[in-house]
Amino acid sequence: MNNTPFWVILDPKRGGNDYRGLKKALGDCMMYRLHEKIETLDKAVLCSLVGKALTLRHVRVPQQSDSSRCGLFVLGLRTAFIHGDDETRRLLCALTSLTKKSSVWTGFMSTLPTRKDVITACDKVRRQGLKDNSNKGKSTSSDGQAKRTVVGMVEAAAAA
Amino acid sequence: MFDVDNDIIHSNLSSVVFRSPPGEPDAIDITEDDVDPLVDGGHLSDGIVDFYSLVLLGPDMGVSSNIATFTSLFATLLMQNRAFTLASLASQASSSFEREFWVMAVVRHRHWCLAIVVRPNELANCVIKLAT
Repeated sequence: MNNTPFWVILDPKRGGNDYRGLKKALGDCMMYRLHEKIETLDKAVLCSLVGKALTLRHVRVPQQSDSSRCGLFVLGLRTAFIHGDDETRRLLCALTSLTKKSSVWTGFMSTLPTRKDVITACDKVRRQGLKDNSNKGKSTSSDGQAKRTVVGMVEAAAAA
Repeated sequence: MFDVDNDIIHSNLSSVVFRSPPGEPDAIDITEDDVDPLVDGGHLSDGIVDFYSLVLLGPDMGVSSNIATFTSLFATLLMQNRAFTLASLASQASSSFEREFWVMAVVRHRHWCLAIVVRPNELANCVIKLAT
């Protein structure tokens, strides 16, 4: 069984994107961790070895009609990966730019969240927050009313 | 760096529309700057993507124990301010490095992609082999 580590960028846009900065940052992150385990190796050497060991596969997925949909695409893909079974994850990790027109993508595209879904979710949480705040307000005002009533009773008793 | 500072200042000026999950110490603040582009058909912000990732995950649905997930902010900080992020990562459970997958949504220049690290737990063995 091949246990070689690698990383894959699923990129919903064609051409021209440079991931060297991300690769360097991720490599540094891994290097720091490995240095705790392999102290005999110099950090610079370790960094170079991590770069060689952790190969990058850049997968350009079908062009989105609207570039602002890239976020929705990533949301859907992330969910499919996390919620999917081992077979789904294996499929997603095995994707290449050549699988552009495969049924994998066609099936996946139909499950993407829409902008309206996100707006609805935002509105739901916002309304719930307002409702909670309103209930807190009611609770506070009734507490205040109770306190005022108690104070009024004490004052009335004192006057008598 | 100039852009980042401006973003931070701008973000601080924008008022919070809601927090999710409410009352949680590590809740995500969704501001007007996050909501406006969402409604107007613009690019999705870090906040919106991280918020909706939690919605999709659901309150009762856990993440498989062999997957480590990171917010988009993690990748952004990793690229912009590595020392800080590496320190915070080190303070997290080291189990992140023992998972089979790392999944992170990444935004660069307002473009989103998904990065998946496969078998980071095997990296040490692979590096040792290369070194010898």
